[in-house]
Parts: sequence; C-alpha cells; structure tokens
Amino acid sequence: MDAKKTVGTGLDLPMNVMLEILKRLPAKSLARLNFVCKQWHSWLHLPYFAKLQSEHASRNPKIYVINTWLAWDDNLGQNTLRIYSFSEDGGRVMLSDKFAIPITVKDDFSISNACHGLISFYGARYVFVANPRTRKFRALKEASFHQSRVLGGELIFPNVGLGFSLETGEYKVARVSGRERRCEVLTLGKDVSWRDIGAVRFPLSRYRPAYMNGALYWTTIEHPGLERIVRFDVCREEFTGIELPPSWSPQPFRGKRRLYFGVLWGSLCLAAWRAPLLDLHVIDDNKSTWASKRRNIHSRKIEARLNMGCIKLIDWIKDMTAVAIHKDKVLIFCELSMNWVYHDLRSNTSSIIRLPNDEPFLLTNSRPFACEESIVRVP
Amino acid sequence: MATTGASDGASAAKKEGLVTLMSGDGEIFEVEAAAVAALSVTIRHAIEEGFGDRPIPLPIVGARALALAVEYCRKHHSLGGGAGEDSAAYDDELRAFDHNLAKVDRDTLFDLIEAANYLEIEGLLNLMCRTVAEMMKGKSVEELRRTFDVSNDYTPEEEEEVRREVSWALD
Repeated sequence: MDAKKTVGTGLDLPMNVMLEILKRLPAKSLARLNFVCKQWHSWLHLPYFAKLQSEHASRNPKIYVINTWLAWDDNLGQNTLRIYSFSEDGGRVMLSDKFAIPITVKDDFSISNACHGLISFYGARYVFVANPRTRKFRALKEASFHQSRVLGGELIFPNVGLGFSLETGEYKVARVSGRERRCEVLTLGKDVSWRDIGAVRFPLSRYRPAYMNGALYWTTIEHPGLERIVRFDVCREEFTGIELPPSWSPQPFRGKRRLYFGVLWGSLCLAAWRAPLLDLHVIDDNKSTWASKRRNIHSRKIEARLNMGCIKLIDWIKDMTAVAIHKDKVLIFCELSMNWVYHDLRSNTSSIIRLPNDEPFLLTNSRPFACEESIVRVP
Repeated sequence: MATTGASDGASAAKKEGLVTLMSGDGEIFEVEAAAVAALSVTIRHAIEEGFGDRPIPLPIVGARALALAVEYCRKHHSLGGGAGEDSAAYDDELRAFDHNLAKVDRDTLFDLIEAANYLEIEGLLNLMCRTVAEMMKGKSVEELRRTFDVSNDYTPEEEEEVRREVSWALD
C-alpha cells in the first residue's frame, strides 16, 4: 500500500537521473562530489559522464587567456606558462582564476586550439595538451620532424591542431611542419609516437585552426591564388580544400588584416579583423556535402556596435589584437590599450574588461580562447 | 490540486478523450488523453497499446507526484511548450509556472524526478534535475550525504588519494 518512500530517508534515484543532475554542476563543484562516496566517485569518472558534462558545458563555454611569454628560469630549470580564466556574472566579465604550467623544455610556445574541454599548445618540437579546468596537462613525445629556421633565422612554427574523432571517441593531434609540409598524427592515449601520414597539398596559414564536429580547419590565406579553407577529417586523417565564402573579399590578403577561426551559432566562422571592422563569415557545415552546400549566412560588420559611449574603439586598437569567437560572443583583445573588449553578438553589447594591475603577464603575448569547462581527463 | 479530478474508482463514467491513470498508491486520475500523451512518452505508449479503456497502472508514481506531473502536462500542452525551456513557445507564463512547481519540498522534488523519469516527461525531468543541481551547489559534502542518504565509505587513506586527484578544485 505504501508505494511512496518514507519521508526523510533521502533517496535512491536511478543512475541515469543522477548523471542528468550532476552534469549541470560546475566543474569545481563536481570535484568536491568525489568525496561523498565511492559510488559517486565512480560515476564522475565514467567516460560517458565526461561526455554528458562536456556537452552540457559547451552551451556556455568559458573564456580563457593563455600567456605564451616564456622566460627561461635557470634556477628552476623551467619556463612558466600561465592560463587565466574569466567568469561572467550579470553581464560583467572578470578574472576568476589563474594557474601556471611549468615547462621543462626550452622552446617558444603558442596556443593552437580548444577541443571538447582540452587545449593544445606547441613549440618547434613539442606539443602539450592540457585541461585548463582541472589543470592537468601532459607533454606529447617529441615530434619526428623539426621545423627548420628560415630566412633571417626566424623560427616558423609548425601548424598544430587538436581534434576529436566523433567515430572513435579519441583525441588526436595533427602537426604539419617543414618545407615539404609533412603531417604527423598522434592519437592521445593510444599512439606511443607520431605517425607520418604524408605531405599536405595545401600551404597552411600561420593562423590558429578551429575544431568543429570532428574536423579541424585552417586557411591558406597567406598564399594569393591558393586561398582556401583546409579541412582535416580527424577520423579519416585526410585533408581537403574548400573554397572560401563568396562574400570573401577577392582582394589579395594584406598583412593588416588578421584572421580568426571560431565556432559561431554552431557553424564555422571565419573572422577578418581590420580595425575597427570585424567581418564575420559564417559557413554552413552540412556534413558530407560541405563544399557544395556551403553558403554565407551572415556577413556583417559590427563597427557601429563597437563604439562604446564616447570611447571609439578605433582610437585604441592598433595592430596587436587577438580575437576569440565562441557561441555568440567575441572577445577582442587590444594589447596596446591594455584592455579587452568583450562583445556579445546576441545582445549587441560591448563591455570592457578591466585587468588587474598586479597581472602584468596578461598584457603581453596573451591569447584568448574559449573552451568548455570539462572534467575530461587528459588521455 | 482541485483541477486534477481524483475520484474514488475506475468505475467512473468514461468521457470522450479522457484516460484513466492509477497511481502506485491506488488513486485514480481522469485526465485529458491529448495533454498527457503529448508530453509523457510512457503514457503515449500505454494508450497506443490499448490501455485507453482501462486504468493505466503507474506502480512507482505516488498520487501527489502524479497530480503535479499531470498539472505540468496540462499547462505545457495548453501553452504549446511541450519541448521544455529550449522550445520557442517557452514564454514568461510557463517560466513562472515552472518556477513555482520547482518550489516544492525536497521529498516531493525527488518523487517528481522519479515520476518524470518513469513517465518520460523530458521537460519536467530537466526542470527537476536543474532544481536539484542548484540545490546541491551550496551544500557541504556532509550535507550532500544526508540529502542523498549515502554514507562515507572511504578509508582515510583513500580519502587522501581523492584529495590529491582533485587538488585543483580545493584551493
């Protein structure tokens, strides 16, 4: 007769329901739940749960800034790479957390991209993969092909991208380097060393790639006459060229324009920044018929909306800028003005992020990126 | 719960478009078939399988939770927001209704989750899961154990191991 549980004895919800509840908690709260009991600890470590939680968190990714200004410390025998995270509260964006990754190899580093809760950063020889939320990171095995120094001794970085194979559920890093553009791939948690998959037909640009739906995207934009988007299928490990949006300005690439790849409104977005204009080209990804069905949905200039009160952005933004795009937000980082602008495309509002005075590292060599807060382990 | 129409037996005269539900504790509810079938996958299947003329037994759903779940279905069906908060029809009225529904006490909340899970009412399950997640945010580990009725089965050594694992979250 008494089908209802006695009041006050707590509950015993089915596992699927518990996971549905837990996935909604922020990563930091989840970490604490490991202490409740062994059962909860095991739930939180299920790969299936990491997937659920990551999908949920991707609806509202966090903005991070990675500082790649490395100064070798002879006493410690290491470099320090700094990652800052920002949180949004009632429209205000502020610095919420920071942590440092000690790096014991002498190299210059740059960030490549974020993918399902992880990021990768790389130098001439090494690639690191980190989870900026759990602060766990690991260095991958030294790459086989080293980037040679070119004219004037300037070091040209290889192209590195971190992707996720939707078919196999594996993270992979692709690295293209050298004059022959050799591509080598390493599957995280599986390959012990890099696999050479041959030369890439396309000259990849130095701009950071974007990851979306099982593929990595670069451009060849610095090579007039060859301008394309280059798609790397993470599962099949194949490169294909895709024509640029028809709305893309046909004039040859000029040095003053900077390009950023991101995911906007669920689609691949190519942003061209030329102060004070930001052109956004959003391309429809229709899986198998990507190339033939591509179209330009939105191509808009947001000049007017970037005027904030009496301060015109054009007055401060010089050449040193960086842009991060995710969901419907754009973060524009103006190094010379010592401030950042955070623009919400949905509400058409911009806000200035005031940087704390005691974080000088935030002002130089910093790059913003968007990444979901995930508890996924670095494989 | 005046609108829910609980009655004393399955013998009540059958009206057009109504379906009879029987809660785990034996209460009978006569409700509009269209409203509950649109939102509850379980009831839709039961009706399709020919339960339309007999009371549909819902063994693990208590009367109070069932009454609330039915109220949820009616409201969301009438306002066209069956798909939950992501749907375009999710307006201020539904938001206010959901907000009020989520204000129930803890035991009712957990009963409603079980009911929504059993009846497969996606929007209600999401609403309740979100509510529980919000409730968990400010609670200590000890409070969580009490709320969810679990006991600490770690040895001090094992607890230290967990502490090392999640050190990033503890400062």
